[in-house]
Amino acid sequence: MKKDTVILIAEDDAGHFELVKRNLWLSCVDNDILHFKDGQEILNFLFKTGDGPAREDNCGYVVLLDIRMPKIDGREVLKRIKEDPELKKIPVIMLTTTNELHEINLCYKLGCSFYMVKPVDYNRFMSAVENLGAFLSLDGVIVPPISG
Amino acid sequence: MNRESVIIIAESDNGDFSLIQSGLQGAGIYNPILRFTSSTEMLDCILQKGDGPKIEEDKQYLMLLNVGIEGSMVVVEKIKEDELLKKLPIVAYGSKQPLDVVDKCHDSGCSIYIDKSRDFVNAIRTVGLFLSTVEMPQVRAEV
Repeated sequence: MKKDTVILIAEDDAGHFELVKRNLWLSCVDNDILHFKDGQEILNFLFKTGDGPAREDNCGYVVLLDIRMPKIDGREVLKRIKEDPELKKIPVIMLTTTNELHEINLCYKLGCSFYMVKPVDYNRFMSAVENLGAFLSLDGVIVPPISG
Repeated sequence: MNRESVIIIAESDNGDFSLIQSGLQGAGIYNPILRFTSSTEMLDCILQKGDGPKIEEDKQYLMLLNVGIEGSMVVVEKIKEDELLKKLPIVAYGSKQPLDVVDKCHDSGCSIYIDKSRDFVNAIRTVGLFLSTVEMPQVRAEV
């Protein structure tokens, strides 16, 4: 994907965020990476509400979304993104510890692009994030700019 | 993904299909593959019609779709408009497609669009490695 596409990570566990960020960088992702500590923060950014940072027009985004988060959970964030006529174009990848089939089915129904389970084993987790990073870094992966 | 998850591949070109198959195997993916060469065959499978293979209730699926196949965008629309089938993740790919086709993929709910003209041989192995870490949905399950 293009180098100006921004990766948004909604993850309440600061340790997990640092691990994901570091391993994305190790797999040659040199895109900007922004961190959101809960569902409300990332919704404020995407819908340009609240006092914090807001997204820019005509920029492409990819969202990595945890499910269990304070204030608003990842499921609800996914639902609101996919209900918006413009934001729905953003690829949303669930990155979560929950591996229940019901949850996987539900998130795909709500419109997530992919559902990844964080492996409990540290090395497997790192390798999964590196595979994700290598995928996102492909020149051929086209992420649409978001306007409005 | 688990070893029983099924990868549906909509590709009419035998050479490109072999390329995808070997790329996936290079990434360690030996999952069952359902291959279709036309959008009619694909629809029959997904809508459980005709005599060919059909989607099963309890299995998990993902689709790789060449948008160059005639009628492929109609298939995408039908899948994404259906309350059950919309769960199917569709990795769309194509080469030199007009911008409106790429936009349509993003608008209609494809998981991602991959431009095949940019080093597809290497790309498909990377896609495979990523997919090996992804969970797939039971397309026909009620949620």
